[in-house]
Amino acid sequence: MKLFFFQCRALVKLSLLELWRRNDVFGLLILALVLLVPLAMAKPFGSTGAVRYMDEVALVLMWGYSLFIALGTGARAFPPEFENRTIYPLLAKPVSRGMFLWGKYLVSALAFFYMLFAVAGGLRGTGWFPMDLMQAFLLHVAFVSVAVSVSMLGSLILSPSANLTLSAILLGGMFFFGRRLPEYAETVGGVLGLFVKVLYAIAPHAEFFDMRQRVIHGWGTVEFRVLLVVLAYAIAYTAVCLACARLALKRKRL
Amino acid sequence: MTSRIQILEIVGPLAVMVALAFDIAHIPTSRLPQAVQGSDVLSVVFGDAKKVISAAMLQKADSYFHGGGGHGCRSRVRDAPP
Repeated sequence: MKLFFFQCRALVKLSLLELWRRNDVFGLLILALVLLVPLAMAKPFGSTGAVRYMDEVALVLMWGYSLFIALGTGARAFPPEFENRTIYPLLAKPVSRGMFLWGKYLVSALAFFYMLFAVAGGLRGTGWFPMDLMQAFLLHVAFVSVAVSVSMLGSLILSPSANLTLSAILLGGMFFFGRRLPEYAETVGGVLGLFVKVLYAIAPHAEFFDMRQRVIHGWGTVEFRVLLVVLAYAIAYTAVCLACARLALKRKRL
Repeated sequence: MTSRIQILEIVGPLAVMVALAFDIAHIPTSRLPQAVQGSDVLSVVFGDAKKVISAAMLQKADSYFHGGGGHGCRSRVRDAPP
């Protein structure tokens, strides 16, 4: 257990240093500061209700950023190691391929945008860490973990461009249309209905994690049972993707 | 043996994932995190774009049906190749 922890810590540190060296962190911070802080601090016409529109735009930007950054980070975790042949010294140490995958995954799944949103909301006077925002943060972290695991699995079986395109289409498509799929499957029936049901069963449901409207309009928190089911779904989906990625990495010829 | 364990590692969470996805599908909309659908900024933007695209597609389908000319556009139908 101790060895597992040390190995994991070393890999996380290595990947964080890599992110730092690539200046990704600065890019994230600058984007977030330039766009989110003015949006969250503004009070158009002195009306607090109109601020909700700003909040919504800020949250949309956060979802967009986190999706593309998560997909990019997950997709870039392995290909550079194969291209630069740095995978050999990494695996020459007493680190298994599964452990290597897990370490990379942990770093890629970091999400901190909601903290900035909470701070900006607090500065504006709407409360520092309301319960609905905390739930939204939890669900957003779960969404990022699903997105990273999907792109990480894709990076081991597809080319980088195909992986990014396919992952973005899948997650974006499910975000907008996922909720309508069961009704659509019932309507069309037959082989197409069966196909839609299978798609609904295996596609990553990004729409399950979207709490934007509740946070913006103050509609209250989600029931604890529903929150648990959604989080369990995220854990199960991530586990499936990582197990498949582990199998793909084990069978990959280096 | 190892491959069986690996397959179990995939199939187990997969079964849980599918069961949870269909369980969530049966939860009423008002109790889900995404409490309403189609009322946020993105939905409005995409909804308007969808309306414009649908209207354009309808016009295109109409023009195919009328042999290349638009509905009620006699001059274009007359000029269209046989």
